[in-house]
Amino acid sequence: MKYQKLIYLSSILIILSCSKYKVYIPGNFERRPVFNANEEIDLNPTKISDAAYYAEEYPNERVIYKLVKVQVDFTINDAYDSSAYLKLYEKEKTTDIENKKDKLTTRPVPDGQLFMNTHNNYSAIAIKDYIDYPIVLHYNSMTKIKDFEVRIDQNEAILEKNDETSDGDEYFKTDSRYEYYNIDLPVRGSEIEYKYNEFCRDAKFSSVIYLPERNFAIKKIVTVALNNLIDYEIVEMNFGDLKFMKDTVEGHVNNDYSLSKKKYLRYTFYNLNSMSKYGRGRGPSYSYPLLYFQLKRVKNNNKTSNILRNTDDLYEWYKLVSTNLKNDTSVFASFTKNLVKDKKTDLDKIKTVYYWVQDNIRYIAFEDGIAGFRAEESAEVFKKKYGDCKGMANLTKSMLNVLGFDARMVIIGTKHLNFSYEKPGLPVDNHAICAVKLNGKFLFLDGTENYCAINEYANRIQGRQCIVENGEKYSVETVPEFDYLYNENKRISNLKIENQLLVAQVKQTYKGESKLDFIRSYNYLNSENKDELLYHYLNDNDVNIKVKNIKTSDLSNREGTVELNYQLDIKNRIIETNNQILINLEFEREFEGFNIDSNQKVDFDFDQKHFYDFTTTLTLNAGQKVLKLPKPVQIDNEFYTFNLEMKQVGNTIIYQKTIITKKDYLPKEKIKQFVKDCSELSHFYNSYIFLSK
Amino acid sequence: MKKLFIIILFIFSVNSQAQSEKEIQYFKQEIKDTFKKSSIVILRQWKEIKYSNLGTFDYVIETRYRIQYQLKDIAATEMFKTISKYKDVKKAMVKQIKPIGTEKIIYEFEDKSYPKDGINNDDVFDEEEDEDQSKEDEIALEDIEVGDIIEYQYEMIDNTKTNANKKILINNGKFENNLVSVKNYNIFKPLSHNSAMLNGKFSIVSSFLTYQLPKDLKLNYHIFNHPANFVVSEKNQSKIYELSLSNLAEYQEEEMSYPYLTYPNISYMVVQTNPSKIQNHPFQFVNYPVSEKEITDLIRNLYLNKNYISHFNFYLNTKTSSTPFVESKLSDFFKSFDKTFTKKSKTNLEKLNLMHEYLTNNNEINDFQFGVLAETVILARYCKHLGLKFKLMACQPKFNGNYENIVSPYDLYWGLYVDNQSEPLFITNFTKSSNIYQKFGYFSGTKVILIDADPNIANQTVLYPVVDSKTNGMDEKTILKLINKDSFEYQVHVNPIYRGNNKQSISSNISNYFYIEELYTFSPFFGYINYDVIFDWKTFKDTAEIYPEFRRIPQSLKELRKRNKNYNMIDDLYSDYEFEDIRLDSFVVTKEDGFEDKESENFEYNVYFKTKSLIKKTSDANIFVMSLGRLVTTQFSISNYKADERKTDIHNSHLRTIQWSFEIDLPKNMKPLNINSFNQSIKTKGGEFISKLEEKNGKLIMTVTKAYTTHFLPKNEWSEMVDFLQAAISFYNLELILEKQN
Repeated sequence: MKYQKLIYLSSILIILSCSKYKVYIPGNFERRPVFNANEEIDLNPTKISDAAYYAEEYPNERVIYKLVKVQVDFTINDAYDSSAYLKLYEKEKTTDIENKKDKLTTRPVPDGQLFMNTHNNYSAIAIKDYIDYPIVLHYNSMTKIKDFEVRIDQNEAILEKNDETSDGDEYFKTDSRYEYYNIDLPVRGSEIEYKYNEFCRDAKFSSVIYLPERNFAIKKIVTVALNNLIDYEIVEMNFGDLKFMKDTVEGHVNNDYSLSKKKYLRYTFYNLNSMSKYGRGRGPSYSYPLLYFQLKRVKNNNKTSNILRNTDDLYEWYKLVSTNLKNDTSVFASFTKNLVKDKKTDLDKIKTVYYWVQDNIRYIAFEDGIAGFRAEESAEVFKKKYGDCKGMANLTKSMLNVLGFDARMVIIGTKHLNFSYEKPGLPVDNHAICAVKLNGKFLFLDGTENYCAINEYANRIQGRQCIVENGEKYSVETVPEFDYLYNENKRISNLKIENQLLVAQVKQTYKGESKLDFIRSYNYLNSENKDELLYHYLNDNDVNIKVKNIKTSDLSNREGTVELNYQLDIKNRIIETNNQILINLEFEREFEGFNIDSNQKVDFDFDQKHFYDFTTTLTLNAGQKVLKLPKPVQIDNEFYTFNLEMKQVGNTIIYQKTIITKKDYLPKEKIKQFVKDCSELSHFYNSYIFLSK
Repeated sequence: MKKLFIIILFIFSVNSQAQSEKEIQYFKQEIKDTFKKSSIVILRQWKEIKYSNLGTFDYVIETRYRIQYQLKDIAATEMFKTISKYKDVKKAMVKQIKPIGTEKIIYEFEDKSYPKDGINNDDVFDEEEDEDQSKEDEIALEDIEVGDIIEYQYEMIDNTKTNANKKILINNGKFENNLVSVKNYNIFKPLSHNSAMLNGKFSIVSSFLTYQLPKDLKLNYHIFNHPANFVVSEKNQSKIYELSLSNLAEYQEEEMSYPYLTYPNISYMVVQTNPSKIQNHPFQFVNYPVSEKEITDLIRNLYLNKNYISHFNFYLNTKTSSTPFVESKLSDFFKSFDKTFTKKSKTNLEKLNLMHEYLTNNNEINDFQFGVLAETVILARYCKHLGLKFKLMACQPKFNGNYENIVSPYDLYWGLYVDNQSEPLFITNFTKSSNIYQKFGYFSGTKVILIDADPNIANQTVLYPVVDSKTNGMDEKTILKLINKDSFEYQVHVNPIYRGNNKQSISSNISNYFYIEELYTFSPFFGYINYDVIFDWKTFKDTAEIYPEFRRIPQSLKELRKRNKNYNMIDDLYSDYEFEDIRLDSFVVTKEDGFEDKESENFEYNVYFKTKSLIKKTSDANIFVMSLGRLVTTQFSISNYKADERKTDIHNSHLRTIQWSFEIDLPKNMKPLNINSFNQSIKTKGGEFISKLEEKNGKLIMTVTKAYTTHFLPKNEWSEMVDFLQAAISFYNLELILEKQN
C-alpha cells in the first residue's frame, strides 16, 4: 500500500498554463483517453463551484442536464408515392443479412408522406468525480443520426464511434442499432454539450417522444413545428404532476439559423426526473410522461393525403404493406388436409392446425425493414419451420383457409402498450395473431404461445382490441378477457404427524396462466432432466422435503387442468418444547416481502391475475390439543383478496388460504396499502400453531 | 450454437485434409443409439490429426473434425434452432440430415487466405468474443424437427513455430487490459498434450480418433477407466494411431468428486524421439511408462539450465553450461529484487515468499510455457542465493491418480521443498494469492519425490503432510445489539477471520471488493518490460500551491472505491442473511494488503449493519419469531435428489472448520420457547455440525461449529456427507419462538 500512497501523492501535478489548471487524474480513468487522447484535463474554479452547488442541491445524482432542447420539424415529402410499396414487392425478397450492418435492411420501408427531423441539444455537467458517461444514439432503417457534435469543457472532442445492434436476443433480430461514444468525466465540474439530428423518413415511425432522460434534467424544452398543411394532434400522456409550461414561439426550421423563422408549440419542463426514478411499471408507455403525435393528414399541392386519421387509415396502411402477399397454399395444402384427416369436428380440425403451428414452427424473428410489418409468405414459414408472430399467424390462417375455414390475420397491441385505436398510430400494435370464425364467433389463435390451449388466451392479449382483416374491410374485435378464476392454482394437502416428520399427500391443479407457465417450462426441458427438475420444483429446492409417489396428468396435453399428485416427507418442521408442539404450516409465502417503493410513480405489473386456492388439513394425533392458532387475515378490495384462516374441525386443523389479484396490475395509488397488507400476510406466514403434547 | 463447436473432447490442435475412405465408411456404418432418455446424443464423432514436417524442427498440425448431434426432443430443437457462423477456421460446414436421410448444407465457409502452414498461435490473442458480432452471425435453421441430425465439420491448421515477439495483455495493477508486444521467450512450443474426459455433456454413441505422425514423433498416452486402446500401424513413413470408442454415457457432475478417477479419460502427449531434435522439446517424457529418472532429469536439467533457455538468462544469469552449474555472479534480476523488495525482510523465508509473490503476480508476462516448472527453478535458484536448503519436487495430487500412469510433465505437480527447521515447506502453488506456506488437502498423505540439484545425490521420497480440518477455516464473531425495542432494530457487528487456505479461497470474492492494485503489492519493478516506453508514463511531483479541489481528487477516488466496495458487501450481506432491510454502516478490512501472501496474517474485516428483520411479528401480538439460524449465513446447498445413486467416490480436498459465536440482546420480557432446538450435535464420517444456545443475563449466547473432517469416503457413504451438510442448511432456516411475558 505504501507505494500506492506515494503514487497518489506524487501523481497530483499542476501545470499552470494560460491561466488554466491541468491535473493528472489518478485511478483507472487515465487508461482511456478523455478526449483527443489527452490525459490531462482542464479545470477552472467556476465550474468546480457550480458542480459543488449542484452536488449539494441534487445529492442523489451524478450527472445532471442543465438544459435539454428538442426541436421537432416536419417536412412534407413531395415525392411521396404509395406505389413504392408495390414496386418493393416486385423484387425478390431475401433474408440474407450478410451485409445488414451497412445497409441495415435489404427490405426498406418506402418513404412516408412526412419527414420528421428532431434536433437534440444536450448540456450536461458532472457533479461527482469519476463518471462514465456514454452517449447512446439509437437509429434504424427508418431513422438516421446526423451532424453529431460534442464539446467537453468547451473543447471540441473527437470521440471513437462505436456501433452495435440493438437485437434483443439471438431469436429476435431487427434493424435497430445504436452508436455510442464513451466519455470519462474524471472530475466534477466537467461539462458536456452535444447535439445531433435524428432524421426519420416517415414521421409515423417516430410518433412517440418520451420526456424523461437518462439523468435528471433541470430544464427540458420540446418545441414542435406548427404547420397549417399538416393535421396532427399531440397527445400528452402520463403527465401526472409534471411541472411544465406551454406556449408558442418562433424558431428557425431544423434549428438552422440560415432558414426562416416559423411558429412552434413550446413545452418547457422543469425538474424532470430521470427514467430510473419512475419505478417498475406495465411498460414504458404507462410509465413515462410522453408526447404522442397522431399524424392525421397532410396537404400537398392542394391535394390532401391521409396518414392515420382513424383505424380505416391504419388498416389501409397494413393492407398496403401486405400488398402482393401471395400466400400460395399449394405447398402445404395436402399436408394440412392429411393432418386433420381423422378429425371429425371443425373445432378439432382448428385445434390440430393451431397446435401443430405452436409445436413445429419455432419463433425466430427477422424484423428488419418492412419485415417488421409485413407477414412472411405462409409457404416460406411452412418450409422453414420458423417465423415471427406475423409469419406464424399467416401460416395458421392459410392452413385453416385450406380447410375451408374463415380464418384471418389479426393485428393487435399487447397489454405492454398504453395506446389504443382511439388515437391510431403505429405504436398501437406490436403483435399479430390469427382469428378463425366458428359458429359465428371468432376464436383467436396465437401461434407464438406454445402450449396454449384453444379458447385460452395469454394474459398479454386478453381484453385487447384488435384489427381483424376482412378483405377491403376490417372489424375491430376484442380478445376475451378472463377473470382470476381462469388462472386457478389449487392445492389440497392432507398432513399428518409421524414422529418428527410431517407427511403430506398433495393434490395440485393448475389452470389458465398458471398451467401455461408450468407445462410450457416442463415440456421444454431436456428429457433427461425432466424428472429431477420436477422433483425440485415440488420440494422448492428444500433439502428438508422429500418428494415421493409423483403422479401427473398428461403433461403434454395443453387442454384442461394439469394435475399433480405426490407425497411430501417434511423434516425439521416440528418444534418441540417441554410441553408443546409448534408447527408452521405455511410453505409458499406468496407476496411475502413484497417490497417496492410505495411512492413509485407508475402502476405495478403483476403479469397476470393470480388466484391461489390452497387448503391444508392437518390431522392431529391422539391426545394432541390445539392451544393456539394464528389469527386470520381477511382483506378484500377491488384489486386483491387475502383470505387466510386456520380452524379446528374435529381432530383436524384446516388452513384455508385464498390469495387473489383481481387485475393484472396494481394502480400506483394502491401500492402503499398493498405493501402494508403484504406485511399482514407475512405476520400470518410467520405464525405457528401451538399444540399440546 | 457456437458453444457446441467448443465441445471437443480432445483438445488437440487441428487440420485440413480430404475425406479418407475410412472416414466415408465410418459415417456410413450402422450404429445403435442406446441412450433412449437423452435429449441430444452425439451419434458419430470423427477427429483426425495429422502432423507433417515444417522445416527442420517444426511441424504443421492439421485437424479434421466432424460431429453429428441427433436432436431427440423439442428442447433439443430449441437449442439448435439457430447456429453461429464459425469463421476462425480454414473450413467449416454445418449440415442438416433429416431422419429419412436427405442432407442439406446450412452453412459453408472457407478462409481462402488461411496460411498453408497454418496459424501460428503465438500471434493469436484470445480477446473476448464480440457479443454483438456473434449475435449478427446467427443463422436460423430451417425445417428443424425432432429426429434431425446436425453435423458440424471443420478443418484447421496449426504449427509449432514460435515468433520473436508475442502479444500479451498487461494487467499488473497499474494498467488494465492493454495489449502490448513483448519479446517471446517461449521458444519451445510443446507438442499436443492434454488430459481430457472421453465423455462429455452429451452421450456419445460412436467416436473415432486418429493420429498420423511422422517417424520422429510418437504418441504417448494412457486411457483411464475404459478398456479401449489405440491400434497402432505404419504407413508411408508415418505412424497411425486409431482409437474407436462407443456408448459413452454423458458425464454427470457430482459434488466433491474427482471425475478423472471414475470416468473414462485420456492423458496423452505427442513426443519428439529424434535425438538431434530433442533439445527443442525439454518439456516432455520420451518414454512411457515414465521412469523416475526421466522425471528427475527434466527438472534438474532445467535448474542447471542444461537445455539452454534464454529466458532464464534474465533471472538466473547463466549460459549454456556443463554440470555442475556455477553462477558466475549474482543475476541483475536477483540483485534488483533484493534492493527493491527485500530490504525490510527479516528472514530468508520472508524473502523467498516475496520472490514467490513477485513471480505469481507477474506471471502473465510470459505465461505460455514457463509456468510452474520455470517458477520452481527460479525460486530454487533464489533459495540457493539465500542459502536456504531445498530440494526440487515432483508430486501427484490425488485427483490425478498415481505416478505409474503419467504421460507428460503436465500430468505432474512440480514444486520446491524447503527444509525449514520447524516444518518443511512444500511449495506447489504458483497462482496469484498463494504463498509458500500453504498446504493442500489434495496432496495430503501422498508420495512426494524430492530431487536434489546435485546429480550425485539420490532422490528421496517423503509423504506430504496430512492437512487436517483445523488448518483452514474461519472464526466469525457476531454481536447483535438491540437499538430499538419497538421496531426490534439491531445493530449487527460481524467480525470474520479467515485462516489458512480459506483466505485464499475467498480471494476471488474479495477481488470484487477491491481494485486489483489494492490487493497485490504495488510494484514499480516491472521485470523486463519497460512501461515508460509503452505508455509514455509521466512522473509527477507535488507543489506547495495545490488548489484544494485537486487535493480532493485522490480522496474522491478512494470514496468511489469505498462505495463500490460497500455495494458489493451489501449484496453479500443480502445473500448471506436474506434480511430485506440491511443498511450498511461500515465495512473495514483490517488487513487489505498482502494478507494472502503472508502466513502470519489472516484476512479479517469488520462489518456493521442494521436490520429490523431478525425478529418478525406473527399474527399473535405476544408471539414473535427470531430468525436465529440465519446468523450462520446461507449454507452450502446440497440436493437430496438421487442421493442413493452416487456414481463417484467422495473426495474433499479442502478440510476446514468454521466457528461462529454470537451474542444477541434478547428484548426484555421475551421468553424463548425452544432453546433446545438450537442445541444440536451431528457428527458423521464426513464432518460435524454442532450448535449450542443459552440464555445468559438477558442475552442469547450461541456457538456453532461446522467442520469438514474427511478427505475421502466411498460413494456408498455419501449420506455421511449429506447428513451433516443438510443439518447446517436446516439450521439456517431454524427459528427461535419468543413469547412476550406480560
